[in-house]
Amino acid sequence: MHGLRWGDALVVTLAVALVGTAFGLAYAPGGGATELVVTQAGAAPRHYPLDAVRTFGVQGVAGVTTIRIEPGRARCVDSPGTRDICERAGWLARPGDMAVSLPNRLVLRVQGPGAEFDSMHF
Amino acid sequence: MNPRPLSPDLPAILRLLLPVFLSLLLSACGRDGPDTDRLTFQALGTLVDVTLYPADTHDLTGIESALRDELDAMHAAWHAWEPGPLGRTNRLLEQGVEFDAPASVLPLIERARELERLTDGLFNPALGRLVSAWGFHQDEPSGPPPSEETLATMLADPPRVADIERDGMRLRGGHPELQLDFGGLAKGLAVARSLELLTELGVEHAIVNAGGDLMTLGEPAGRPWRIGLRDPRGTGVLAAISLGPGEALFSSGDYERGYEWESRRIHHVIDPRTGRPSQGIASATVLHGDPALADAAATTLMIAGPQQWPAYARRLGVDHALLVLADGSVELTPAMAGRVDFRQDLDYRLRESGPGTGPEPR
Repeated sequence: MHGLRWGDALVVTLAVALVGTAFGLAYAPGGGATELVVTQAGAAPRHYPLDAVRTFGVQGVAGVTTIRIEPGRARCVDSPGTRDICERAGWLARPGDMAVSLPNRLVLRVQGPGAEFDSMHF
Repeated sequence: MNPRPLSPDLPAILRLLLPVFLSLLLSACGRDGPDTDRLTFQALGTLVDVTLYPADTHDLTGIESALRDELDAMHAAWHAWEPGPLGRTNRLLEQGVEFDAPASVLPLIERARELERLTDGLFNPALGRLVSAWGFHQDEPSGPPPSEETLATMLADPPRVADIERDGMRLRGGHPELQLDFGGLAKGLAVARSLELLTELGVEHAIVNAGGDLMTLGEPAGRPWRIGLRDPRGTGVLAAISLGPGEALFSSGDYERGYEWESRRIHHVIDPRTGRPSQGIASATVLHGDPALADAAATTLMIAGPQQWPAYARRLGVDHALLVLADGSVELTPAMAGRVDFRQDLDYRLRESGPGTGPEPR
C-alpha cells in the first residue's frame, strides 16, 4: 500500500483551507446591515438598500415618520409620539436592529448577514 | 494510463474526514442569510412580531392570517373600553345582577382572582374605573388627572376581583364601582394562546413578540434564542439574554402608555395603595415559564417599588427579575444575573427575591 503522496497532501490542504474560508465568511459575526425593511400595519413591507444618503417620510395613522438612510445604517429622525421612542433607538446599523413607532404602527428593521438578535424585548 | 483509485492511497483518517469536509463546505455555502423568518403586523392594539425558525419553511401568509384572526378575537373580547364581552360583563357587574359569564372572559376573571390574592391586592384588575379616571381608557391617553377629592372617594372602599361572586357559570358583582381592566394580564394570555395556535399549525420553533413582550416555542437547532433588551431610559440595547424553549419575558414600564401633564409624566401603571401612577421603578422585567404570570408579575413588581419588590417576587414564585429604578440604576435577582449579558457599563445590584423589607405572605 502506498503512503500519502505530495499531490494528495496538496488536495487535502486546499480542501481544509476552502472549508475554513467558507465558514469564516459565512459565520463571521458583525456583518453590516445592507437593507432597511419598513413594515407598516396593513401594507406590504418596503425594502430600501442602505447604499446612499437619503431622507424620506412615511405617512402613518398619527402623522409622518421621517427616516434617514446613510451607507450601512438608517434611523428614525422624527416620529409622532411624546416619548421619542422611535428616535431614541438611534442609528440602526447591526442586522436585526429595530426602531418602532407605535403611534404610527411602524417598524424599521435593518437586515444583513449575521443578525445578533432573534427578537427585541422592550 | 489508468487513474489510480484515490481511497487506497489515503490514510484511513483522511478517508473519514474528506466527506465531513465536503458536508461542512456545502452547509457553509447554503448559509447566505438569516436562519429565521419574521412576520410583523398590527394586533392587540400594538405591533406583533413573530420569529419563525427555520427560514423558508413556513406558510407565512397563512400563519399571519390565522394569528391575526385569533388575536383580533381576543382583543375584541377583552378590550376594557370598547363594546364587547368584557364591556357587557362590566355593565352587568356594576348593576349587581346575576348573569351568565362569557366563556371568553371567565378564565381571565379566575386568573385575576388568583393573582390578586397572591399579591394581596397589589395586582388589582378590578380598578378599571380608577385607570379610566387617569385618562387611560382611550386610544391616546390624556389628562386631566383626577382631583384629590375624586381619588379620596375612589380609594375609600376600592373594589377587588374578590368582590365578584361566582356560582358555576353565574356571576354577580358585589361592588358598584367594580370595573374590570385586564391590561396587566391579557397580553400574557394572548401570547400563550398564539403559541398554542402556532403549534396547531405545525410550527415547532418560534417567538411571539407582542409590543415587546414575548415567549418562545422550541428553539433553533444548536443554539438558544437570542433576545435584546432595549434600554428603557436611553438608546440601544441594555442587555442580551438567551432563552430556551417555553420561556416568557415580560416588562412593565413607565415609558409605555402615558402623557405629560403640567411638566409631569403620567404613566399607566396605577398603584392601588395610592391611586396614583407607581413611583420608584421605571421598568420591571420578569422571565418565567408562564406568560400570564410574567405579565402580571412585571406590573406587580413595578407597583411594589424599590423596597418591596423582592417580597412580591417571592410570593409570585419569580426567580428571574430585572428592575430599572427611577434613578437609572439596575437591580436584579442572582438567577437573572446568570442569564443576562449587559451591553452597557452600569451600576447594578443583586437582590434575592425574598422577604426583604416587604410584607410576608399570609
